[in-house]
Amino acid sequence: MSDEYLWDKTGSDPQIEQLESALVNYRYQQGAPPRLPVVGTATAKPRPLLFRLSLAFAGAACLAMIAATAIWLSIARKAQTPDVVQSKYKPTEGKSYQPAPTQPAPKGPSIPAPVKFSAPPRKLPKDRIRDTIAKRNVKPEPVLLTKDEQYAYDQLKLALWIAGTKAKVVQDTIDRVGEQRSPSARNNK
Amino acid sequence: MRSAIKQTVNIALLLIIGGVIVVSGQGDAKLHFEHLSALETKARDVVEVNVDGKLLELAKRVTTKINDKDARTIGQAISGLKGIYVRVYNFAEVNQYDISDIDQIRNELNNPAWQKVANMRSKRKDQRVDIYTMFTGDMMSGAAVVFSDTKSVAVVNVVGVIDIETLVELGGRLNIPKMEVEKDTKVSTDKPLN
Repeated sequence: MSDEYLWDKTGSDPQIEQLESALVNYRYQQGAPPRLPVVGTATAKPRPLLFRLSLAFAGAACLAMIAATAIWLSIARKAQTPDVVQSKYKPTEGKSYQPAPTQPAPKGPSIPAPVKFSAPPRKLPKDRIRDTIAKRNVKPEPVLLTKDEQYAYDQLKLALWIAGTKAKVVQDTIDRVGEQRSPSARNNK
Repeated sequence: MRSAIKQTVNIALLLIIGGVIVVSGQGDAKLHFEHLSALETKARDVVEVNVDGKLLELAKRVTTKINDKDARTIGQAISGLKGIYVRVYNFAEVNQYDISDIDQIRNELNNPAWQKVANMRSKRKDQRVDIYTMFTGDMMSGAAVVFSDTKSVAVVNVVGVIDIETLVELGGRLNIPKMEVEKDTKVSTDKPLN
């Protein structure tokens, strides 16, 4: 067996030549690739019009919702944000309000002032707890009585107080006499 | 037809008579305080409290408005009350008044309609306290307390139903309300009354 024939086909090697002749049918042949067998075909059908319309509508609805949320958030933030610019005018007693004369606009390109967004300060958990406790400890508002009602109630209380104290004198005396008469009660005391 | 009219008239008459009896029955429990006029001239301080009619209704309404223990107790105590009348006479000196000045009131209470439920006599300051009640049927229709010692006389008259135990309880618990007293008048509540 010669290695040269195996590598560069120089010389002869009958054993390899025999093998070559046996396998000649499977030799590489340059040409078009073989066609693969077709198992199943997936044909791309065009989408129905209704589906496309509904998809478009859903997209539009999503966009509208996002836009509405953005507008609502900006309005809510504006409502919470205190006015940064305050009027310099301070009303004084006895004088009616006179708006300041309008200044002529300065010449040149006007630069818009930067918009400041100031979010309301977030409450810390301890502040929230304090607020909750404060809400729970709120005392009921005092009952407001009219002058007549207050007078009537005071008169009644006075009458009951006098009647009660006079009746109590009797009660106390009865109790005192009872204690004096029963030595066991006195001993217990 | 005539008999029907007669029956209606009779029923109406009976109702009117019944109403008169009821009204007069209520009036019986009220004492005649004019009998104490002799004390008024001698007393240094006179306290006169009359709570009935509209004033009592107003006070009853207040007890429902105010949400405290005293107001609730008072509200319960006066639910059947028709009137409460108080007279207190404080004297500057000992034995300045004559005991016979209040005898007329005591005589009024010696009526069989009134029942004496308590009678207290003490040598200390010569205290005398009498408690009377009046019943119409099974229902209490009035009560009276007559108190006297060497320097003061007090008469309390209750018309209607009142629980005396609650009254005693209130006497020990209530604070005397501040009253606005006009100057140069006989009424004065800025000093202890007993």
